[in-house]
Amino acid sequence: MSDKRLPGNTLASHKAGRTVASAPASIWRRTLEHRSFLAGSILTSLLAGMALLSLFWTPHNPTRINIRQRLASPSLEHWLGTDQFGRDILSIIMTGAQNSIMVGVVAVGIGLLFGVMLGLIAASAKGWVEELIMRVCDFMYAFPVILLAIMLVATLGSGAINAILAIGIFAIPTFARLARASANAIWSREFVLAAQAAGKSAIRITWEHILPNIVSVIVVQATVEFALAVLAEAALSYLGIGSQPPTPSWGRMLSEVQTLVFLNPWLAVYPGAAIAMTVLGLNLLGDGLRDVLDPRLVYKR
Amino acid sequence: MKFFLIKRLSTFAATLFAATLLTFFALEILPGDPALVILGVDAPDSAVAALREQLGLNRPVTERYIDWISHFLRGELGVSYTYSVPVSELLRERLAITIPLALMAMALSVVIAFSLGIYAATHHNRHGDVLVMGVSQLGISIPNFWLALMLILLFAVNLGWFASGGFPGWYAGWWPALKALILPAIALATVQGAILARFTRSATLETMREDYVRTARAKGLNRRQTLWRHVLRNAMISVVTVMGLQFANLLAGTIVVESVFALPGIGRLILQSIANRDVVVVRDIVTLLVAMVVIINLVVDLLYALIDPRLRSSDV
Amino acid sequence: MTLLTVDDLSVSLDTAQGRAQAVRDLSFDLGPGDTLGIVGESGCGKTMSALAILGLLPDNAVTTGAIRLNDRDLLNCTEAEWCDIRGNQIAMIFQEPMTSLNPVHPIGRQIMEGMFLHRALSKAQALEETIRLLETVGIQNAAERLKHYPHQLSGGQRQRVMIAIALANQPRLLIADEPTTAVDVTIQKQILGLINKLIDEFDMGLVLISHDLGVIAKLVERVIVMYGGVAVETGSVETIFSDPAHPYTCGLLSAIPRIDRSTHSRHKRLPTIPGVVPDLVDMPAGCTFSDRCSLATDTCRTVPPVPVVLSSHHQVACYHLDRARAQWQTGPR
Ligand SMILES: Nc1ncnc2c1ncn2[C@@H]1O[C@H](COP(=O)(O)OP(=O)(O)OP(=O)(O)O)[C@@H](O)[C@H]1O
Ligand code: SF4
Ligand SMILES: [Mg+2]
Repeated sequence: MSDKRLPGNTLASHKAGRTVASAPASIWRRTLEHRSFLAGSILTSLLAGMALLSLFWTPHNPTRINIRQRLASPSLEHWLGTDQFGRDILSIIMTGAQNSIMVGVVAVGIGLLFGVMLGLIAASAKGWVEELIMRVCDFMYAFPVILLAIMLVATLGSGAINAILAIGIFAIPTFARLARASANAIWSREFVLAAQAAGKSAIRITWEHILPNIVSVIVVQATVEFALAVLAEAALSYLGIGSQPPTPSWGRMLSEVQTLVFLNPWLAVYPGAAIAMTVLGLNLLGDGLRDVLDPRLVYKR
Repeated sequence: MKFFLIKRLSTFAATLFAATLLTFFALEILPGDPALVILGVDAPDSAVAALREQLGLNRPVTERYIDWISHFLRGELGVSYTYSVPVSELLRERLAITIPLALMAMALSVVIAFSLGIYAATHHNRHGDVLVMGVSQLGISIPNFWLALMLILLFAVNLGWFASGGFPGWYAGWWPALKALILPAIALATVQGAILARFTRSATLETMREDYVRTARAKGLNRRQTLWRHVLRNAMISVVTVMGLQFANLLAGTIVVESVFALPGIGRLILQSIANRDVVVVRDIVTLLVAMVVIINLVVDLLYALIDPRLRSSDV
Repeated sequence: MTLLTVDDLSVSLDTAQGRAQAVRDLSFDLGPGDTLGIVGESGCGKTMSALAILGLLPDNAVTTGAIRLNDRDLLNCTEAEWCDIRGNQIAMIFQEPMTSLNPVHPIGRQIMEGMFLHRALSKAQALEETIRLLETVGIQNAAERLKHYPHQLSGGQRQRVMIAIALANQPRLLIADEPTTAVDVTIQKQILGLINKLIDEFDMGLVLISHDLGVIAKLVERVIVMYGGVAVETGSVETIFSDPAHPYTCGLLSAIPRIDRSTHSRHKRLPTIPGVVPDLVDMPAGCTFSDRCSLATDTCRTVPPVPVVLSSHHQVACYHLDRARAQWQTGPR
């Protein structure tokens, strides 16, 4: 943590940062020195570790109902206590991590795949194609994720798939805009102009020059979108239009215990804290990645 | 300005039109018969046929769209299948909750965002700034419905200052009604305010580095005068845009938060309609909400032109 | 009587790489009506020196030495006292006219703002004065123009508005930082002529900053040549142009074709000389110019030279100025 951020050191440090931008050694140094990156990685690994562990082992069977043990306080047996059906809360939380990760991966995958594709097409085609794609993206901003999900669920019926689809579609315009903006910047660079002059096709240039150069920006955005996806899924599950029982889900846990908070407030605290920590971790990771991958931005925030 | 206005208005109209097409045809192109969706696949054929007739499904699609849209524009929405009353009637009392809630939350989040964001920017890299950034990072990460639950736990269950939910209705007097909206508004505004505070901070910081800010200081203005007269108005240009985009999220947030506080607003209506498979109501409400988002963004664009003279003049 | 005294002024900037010495031991003084030019390559500390005089250095700057305006010690002023001086007694024309005006305010308001701040004027008086000022700086249709926004003005007009802002309260000292970078040659001529006329008219002291030797030659009596934050040579325009003594100054001048070397030379960019400007964080221990100087010896590299007074108005910081002058006089012309 020797890298002390000094105020207003705009010019000098800026210039220096630019020259070392791609040296691998300094990427490592920056990585280790970056506090929010570190905190974010720890929280995110914790989430991933929890999900992974729950695939093989949980303290108890997360779906086993045990009425005699219901609403138990935290104990050695049940670290976080039990819910209204006597299920072990720690086990449900651990299994719920799987759900969040699955939703995040699939939804961000959809958004990233289609969004980046559209963005790259827009940047390389220019003209009315670009205009059209971007207008459609603007248009999609008028549909918040929850409305999108409501529309899908209203027509196709409730289910985890529709919720994930809605979250994924919601992420498309963000990725598309970002990909287009970054790709446009690369398209105007000299080495691309040279490649064009050499007669390379737009598809080849996109594949060989554009894509590799925008990967880091996309990765950063994907991290942030992952966090948004976890939040959205939790909200949808809470409303009952996300993942369905018996899949353990943090959002649904909250809706199930809502009437019980008067009896045992902690029931509502754990799942919410799990969501918040996950989202916090991913956001910090995204912030950190942005700085680590693109040092030019460090001093500009 | 004229060009700007025409451009904005045409985008506005096109967006609204596309939105109605989307919500309308979502029901049409998706697999299955809307009547079947409403009644469920096990419904007897006669009931399905009756409903198809009632919904006008036997007429051509374009005719039905035009019919729907012209009624929609006149404020005559469809008839709810479950409630058997016009949707517009259902909506009126619901909107009387949702709109004040959204406005309260917006106002509150702007107050939070501006005070924290500007404070942090003027205390850049000092303890206050770091604290604000940390708190706002946390604020962004908290699900609003969970925050709502926690607020209920603290202020309703433990302190007993507020009711834990429900709405007395506006006829119960404006204070009891408003009081029922305070906790929901706080829950909504905290998250929105945290996002907006970060934008406000970075926009202010960025503007403070502008050359014209230095010019202002060179005239002899002190830091505070410079901030108010030169920095903020310019910083607002980008903040206002974000505010418009945030409104969509805020509206979506009200759906969730209304559900936590058992407020009989739009959010509850839409969720009940989904449970009842009342597709007509869902479609109309979604269209209405999207229209609200689009309108707010138009307002923001016009506001933008008010702040930024570069958009107003004829030579742009 | 002196207007401005700068005594051993040093400015350093804290950066992530360490402490950068932007200005080192700068000293000069200026009487009312005097004109001083500061010339040097980009990044040599010209703007930093000017900002120090205005008390507007970035937050990460540390200033030492003394700056006195009419025998008042500026570096010990409170912020309120500074605000009273800025725009009132000292005014500055900034380097970037395109970005130095606030895009959301009409220019009239931006000019009047400074007037209201330092003088008790009625709105009508300020308006009248602003119109007169705009006419003085050569903007036609002033009454109409002052309602315009910066984006409706050309670069040259904006530069004139910047000058009007600076002159709003008839300051005792005017600092002009590259007042002609953003404009073409014709406008440049007009603006320089304007500044020249105004300093005569208002009897102001002028500090003119430029990379442009031609501009300097045309407008000022005395010149400071800066290199790496240090004033390497100070003297009257005639001395500097005809009898330079510092190897850096000689290098600058010999890079200009002879025809341009007279004080009547036309617009000429500062020529490049081999090598790069030293890293401000890691400066040579001795003379700042030593890693580019062909005459450098071990002494040069280890001990910084102190300024030698050659004549009443000619000072040079160099160990080997005899050799430098000899080389200059015999060198290819
Ligand atoms: N905020 C800052 N933090 C750190 N270093 C800075 C800062 N601003 C300027 N510098 C550095 O200080 C040095 C002096 O800058 P200055 O602006 O005085 O140069 P200049 O002579 O005016 O150059 P130019 O002719 O390009 O305007 C430069 O090397 C610059 O990189
Ligand atoms: S002191 Fe030495 S290095 Fe510096 S300018 Fe003179 S001769 Fe060159
Ligand atoms: Mg400069």
